Amino acid sequence: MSLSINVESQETHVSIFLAGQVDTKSAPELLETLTGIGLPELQELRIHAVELTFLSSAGLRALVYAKQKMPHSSRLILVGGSEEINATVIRTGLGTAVTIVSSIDEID
Amino acid sequence: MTADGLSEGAASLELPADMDHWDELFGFVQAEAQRHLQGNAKEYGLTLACEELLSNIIRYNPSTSPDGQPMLIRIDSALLAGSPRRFQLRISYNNVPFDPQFESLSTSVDDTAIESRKIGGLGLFLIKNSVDHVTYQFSDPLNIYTVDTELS
Repeated sequence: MSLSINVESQETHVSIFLAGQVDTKSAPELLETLTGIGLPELQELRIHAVELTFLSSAGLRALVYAKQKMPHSSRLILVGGSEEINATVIRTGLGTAVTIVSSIDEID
Repeated sequence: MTADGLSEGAASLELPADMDHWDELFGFVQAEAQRHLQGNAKEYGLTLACEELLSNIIRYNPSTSPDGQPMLIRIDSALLAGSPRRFQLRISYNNVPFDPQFESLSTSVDDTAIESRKIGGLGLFLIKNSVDHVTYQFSDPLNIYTVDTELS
């Protein structure tokens, strides 16, 4: 299954909608997208994962890269990830850097 | 059941170890995991671990073995008899030995601050912590990873 990436830039944040799977083959597409959205000035990045079926360590590394490039006070939010994807993020210790919510209604 | 203890339904795939064959290699892993573990919470973890192994093999090895043979990846899938029953994927390839030393890898969560987080090692951590058992052995000329998970 391939990966579909859609980016929406809002005044206060950027949303990236992922559909399909982020694996070794497709992760470079995600990384390329991330490098093009102005991470050093971005205060909030929302990764919409409702239609994401798989996230490999290459995908996790892309999230780490994004958060490291964003300002210290910024937020990286994973929205609607599956139970397995959320558990993987937490298991690798990234749960402290990534805010996990089930829907955008939970974002304050 | 076969003579070596493997149950019926075993399947195998052997292809050149390169990104041109990624979809077939990873697709085989996903299909076999789904076939044997569908509805089981362990399906995702096993798929994740095998994706990491395939990725490491392809990305960190030369395309030919030391004796000049093309590097091939073989994946064997089987249900193992016994109690509890186990689903096993064995991934082998012909190249120089590389022992990731799974037994010495940490199983605890890395709580290093994200700003200081090193990228390396994440994949091996996921392999070890996503399945019930993972082993490595070298049987010249093959590196052999065996990943299995118990069917609860």
